Amino acid sequence: MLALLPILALCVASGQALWPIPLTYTTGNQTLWIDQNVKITYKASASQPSTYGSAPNSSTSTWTDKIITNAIERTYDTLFNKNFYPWKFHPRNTAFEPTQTRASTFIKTITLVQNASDPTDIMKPTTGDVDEGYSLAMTTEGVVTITAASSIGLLHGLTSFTQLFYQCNGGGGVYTPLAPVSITDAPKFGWRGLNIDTSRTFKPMSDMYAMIDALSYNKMNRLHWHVTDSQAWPLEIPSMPDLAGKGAYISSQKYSAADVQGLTEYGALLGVEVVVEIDNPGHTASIAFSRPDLIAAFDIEPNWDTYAAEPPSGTLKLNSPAVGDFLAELFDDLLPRLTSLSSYFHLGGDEVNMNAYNLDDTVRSNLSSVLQPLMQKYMDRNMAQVQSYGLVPLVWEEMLLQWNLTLPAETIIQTWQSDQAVADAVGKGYRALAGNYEFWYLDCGKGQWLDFYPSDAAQYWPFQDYCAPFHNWRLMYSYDPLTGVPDNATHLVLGGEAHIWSEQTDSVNFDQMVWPRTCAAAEVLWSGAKDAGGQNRSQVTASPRLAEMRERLVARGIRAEPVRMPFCSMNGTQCAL
Amino acid sequence: MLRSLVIALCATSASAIWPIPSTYTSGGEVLWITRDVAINYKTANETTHGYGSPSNNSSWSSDIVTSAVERTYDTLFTKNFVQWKFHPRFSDYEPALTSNSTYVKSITLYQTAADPSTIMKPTAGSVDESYTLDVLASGEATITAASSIGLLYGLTTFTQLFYECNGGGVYTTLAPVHITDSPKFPWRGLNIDTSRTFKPMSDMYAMVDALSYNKMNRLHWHITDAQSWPLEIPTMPELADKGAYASFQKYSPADVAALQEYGALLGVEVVMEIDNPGHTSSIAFAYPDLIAAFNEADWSSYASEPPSGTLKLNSTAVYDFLERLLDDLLPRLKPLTSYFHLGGDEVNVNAYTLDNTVGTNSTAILQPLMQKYMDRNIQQVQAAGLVPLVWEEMLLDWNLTLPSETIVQTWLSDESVAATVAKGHKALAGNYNFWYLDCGQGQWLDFYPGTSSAEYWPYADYCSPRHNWRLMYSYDPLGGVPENSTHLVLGGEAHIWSEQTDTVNLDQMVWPRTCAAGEVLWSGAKDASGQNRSQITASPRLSEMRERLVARGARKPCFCLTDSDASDLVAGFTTIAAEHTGYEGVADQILVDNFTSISDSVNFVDGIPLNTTMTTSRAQLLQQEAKLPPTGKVTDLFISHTCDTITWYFEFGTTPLPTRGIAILFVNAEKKIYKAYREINSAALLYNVGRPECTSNWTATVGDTGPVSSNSTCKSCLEGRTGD
Repeated sequence: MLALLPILALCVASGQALWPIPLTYTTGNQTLWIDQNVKITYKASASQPSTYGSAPNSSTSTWTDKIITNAIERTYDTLFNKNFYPWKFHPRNTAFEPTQTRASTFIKTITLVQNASDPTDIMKPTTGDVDEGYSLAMTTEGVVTITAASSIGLLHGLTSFTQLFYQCNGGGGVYTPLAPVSITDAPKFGWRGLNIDTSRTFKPMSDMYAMIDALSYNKMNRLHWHVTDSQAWPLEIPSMPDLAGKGAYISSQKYSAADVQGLTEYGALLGVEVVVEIDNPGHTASIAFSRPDLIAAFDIEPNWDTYAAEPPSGTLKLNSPAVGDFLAELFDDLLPRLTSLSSYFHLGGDEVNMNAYNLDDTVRSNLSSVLQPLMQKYMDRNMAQVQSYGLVPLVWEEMLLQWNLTLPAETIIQTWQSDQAVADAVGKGYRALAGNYEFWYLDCGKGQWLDFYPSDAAQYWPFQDYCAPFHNWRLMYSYDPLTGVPDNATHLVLGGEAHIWSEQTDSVNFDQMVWPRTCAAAEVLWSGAKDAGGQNRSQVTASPRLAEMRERLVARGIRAEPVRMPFCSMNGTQCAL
Repeated sequence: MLRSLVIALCATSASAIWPIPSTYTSGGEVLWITRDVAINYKTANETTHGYGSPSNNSSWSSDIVTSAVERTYDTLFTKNFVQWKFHPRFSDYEPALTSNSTYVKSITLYQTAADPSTIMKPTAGSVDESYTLDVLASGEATITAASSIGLLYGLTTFTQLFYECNGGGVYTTLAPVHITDSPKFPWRGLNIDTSRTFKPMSDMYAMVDALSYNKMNRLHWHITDAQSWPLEIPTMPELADKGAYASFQKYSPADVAALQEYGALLGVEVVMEIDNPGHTSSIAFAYPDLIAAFNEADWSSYASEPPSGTLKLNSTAVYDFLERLLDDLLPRLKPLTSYFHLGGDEVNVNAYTLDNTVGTNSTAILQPLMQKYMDRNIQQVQAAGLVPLVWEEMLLDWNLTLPSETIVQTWLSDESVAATVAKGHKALAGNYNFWYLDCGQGQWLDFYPGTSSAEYWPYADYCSPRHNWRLMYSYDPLGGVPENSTHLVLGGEAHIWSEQTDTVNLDQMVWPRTCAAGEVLWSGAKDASGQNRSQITASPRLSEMRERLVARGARKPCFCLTDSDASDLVAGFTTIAAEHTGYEGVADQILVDNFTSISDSVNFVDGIPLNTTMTTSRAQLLQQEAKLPPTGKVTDLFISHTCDTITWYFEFGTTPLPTRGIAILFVNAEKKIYKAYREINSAALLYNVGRPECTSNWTATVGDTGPVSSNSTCKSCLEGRTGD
């Protein structure tokens, strides 16, 4: 009883609205209406002579312009076409909606103030380059000001602005009951990403665009595109048409160069940088469909599990000039096309199976003493080429922690196996991404995707996958990327990613597998796992906000799973223990 | 190496059919099929009118077969799929269509016996659902069955033999085919909870469609519960008005009837459950006096979920309420079901300490009261001619004496099934550790920071982990049941409790996992040699079934008006208004029996209070229309439609004044109009029917006192208007 009362009162009195939760956030209880005639005005800092600041060069100015214009258009679209009627968040049959009268106050002006110039790489920022913070003030008179140092900060401010508003039932107008509002906000981590696997199952471009839209609406800023893997090679490489021509699942399931360009541009407008990964030397069996000579241990059956984590087995040969030439040609084709809109390239390097090299005619050994120097040489070549294009390399943690490779200092290490891996990576002085598979792997808990023969079935019953159970949003929300990281090294943890490996996720269930659970990761990455008092954030206060965010995602056309049944949202903290 | 052999086998044998038939042989010949193929229906005694003996139900049999034939064309030619995923990449697996290609020449449906008269609401086992299917390499197909439902299943299987070509054309590579098939269990169901979250009718239709495509035959509709009461009860409108989550989340009598009808056509009987005495708190929104322990803050002491609350156990008011409720509901359900589910699960004895008619949690006191309570319920259900179902707790925990025909639905364990049949009752299986589809999504409760939050980490729900299809497939409803009692296990149900499942993820939560239950129930958990079925051979078949379900677009409504449907319905509606006589037949075709019409403009003209429902049946509409003068020619100014509504803007009576109006017509899955909102220019109408003082020039006549209708004047009409 004691626990219920104060929090109940708090929930009813304060607005829910924002996800992820801002740094500071105060609201009132005055109603303001907004209509499509409201003007959104953009002002660069008064000290700056030109429209968009000092505009160090025309391309930055163009991108700033495009980002702002796009953000404004989306604000109207979200407010007036993709809003929602919040009946679920009020006790049943209550008249919670304000009535619009002649005396009602409308939002008069929305002013965007950019008080600094965008960096020149605003369309492909490296982590920390862009100040993503903003402040938002809404007076009871209907005057709104959003202030930020960057166009992306203004975008995030407008995103928060839209989350203050609700739709009346039956098209009766759009209103906020929360005025006045004062928000200051800035992200905890600079890298807030989702990793999408498009090899095991293909995702149509419409899905990829929808994911960027949803990521941006959660103030996430990276789409890690695990575009190829052993099962299929859907990425068209114009200089090597057979790669996708033979390695895609089907001719209709390929990403053209224009698709990649289109997605990276769409992302840049929404502050979501697309980071492409070509995983190698493992996870490359699909190359064998066009270049069988490059792949060792291809599609070994039935004992594939000796040579790979999943069928089909197969790895790029480790000590092969032909493989080196292939990689050089591949990256010379791909990387120049990516550099205009990304500052990163992911070289993979996870789950390399040493037994596969027993079948590699350029190595014929599974001894790490033999393999390690060859892997160093292999990865040195990759790194040198990536860096020669001005891109910052990423690799999976195994390259550093298991293979003990010497990597360029700027390399970002993507961890996934444990909290200890984050601590170890930063312990070696590298920058790290978090995303412990026991918390942030979205594919876990669906059950095995392997079939078991009747003779073996009993031992695998009840057919759980290796990382079951399903990582529900509360579990994802309880993850802190900084767990186990010494205070003096936390700056090396750039952020993290949720991961949707796609053995059992295709276009039909993609939305549901990713949303709204990835919102939990988004809030941890934007707002931090701990609140201002240093305590783990409360799911009791998060749950109604997330339930509301879910409705906003559904209104955007994202088929996000429900967070709470209406009963729970209608009744404060009735569904808490 | 043994493994490789099985793979080789898979590559040569076809996958295709889900659930797997009793016997199934196929060849490697290609047959093509086009829309021109005729499907002929023959009964055993062609000389007898109808479908056999006079005691059967010729109308329903005919409707079932007609519907099955239409759906067969629809599935083959508009909901088929290209099977590229089931062949090595870039392999040339599709047959070539040449001038020498063989086509399916004819499909003959042969019904060897008369349908029982209850074909539209069969009791378990009363319909022979089996069929045989032969497709000759020469292109003749024959499906033989004892019942129309058997023919439906044969046609369903037939569609699963065919694939769509990438560039057009539909073919099978499996001819000749010989199949004999019959179900292991007669009760193959899915239980859908529409209280914790509402499911729009389009979802419910889609579920019936998918169930039928899996040869499942029961939709158990857990329609009410503690969280909301979405079911409209006309004699007690406040139940849903106050107990539904929102005014647009209710099921009308027309909704219920239409779903039953849709199900009956597809062999899926809708079995409704009103769970009680627990799981009833939503009644308190309308009738607070009937509910004890309502919405206690310490809910976990009184219920398994918030809000707590139970119908009082020893209350004449509760008895009266239940009698009224079931007297309203059961007669409407009865034409299309033989069953009614009385609930009875998870009754919390502590709630009765707060029940002023009982005031104790002592089972010694409660048990006789529960016996009396349930006796009343069961008697009323039986009086309506329905077979009662209850959850296992009533029998196994409360030790109630139940009529022998009562079906006991078990859920807690395999032991429950054995214990139920040991008491001589018929049982349904559906162990929650295997067949609860909601499990594994994680907790839906929020945990306070600190002890609670730490204690419940990682927030797995009580029946976690998620029940993947392989786990569901490994469940045998007969596990632990002695051989001499297996006949008492009627079958079972998968369950989608809906704390975390609404319309957005319903499809994904239910399918394809429920297919696993579908196959266990149709084909049995063991193969012909008594071994557990192999997931190695099931997996490719299930993958294919999944593609067929996606091709069916389970997310869309299963019916959708075409342009010509819309114009036909509008034309029919026009006829009723425009003609003096001869429209009864048209009305029968386009309007449901309990057609409702709302029109304040007509109320206004007729001197009826505004916001009154004008018509509540088709017969009433016809009576009203007969009193009015014909409108004469009606001009359609605009017609637009969605899948289930028509918007219509029209004009009639152009002299002396044109009368314009707008109508919204609501159409059910049978493509009949069940509701209309119609508003017309009442001023013009009044003028045209002989009230010239009511010209459109109102300001000139507003002070006049001439008669407008027998009991009012134009002026008083004006003054009587509301909301101005």
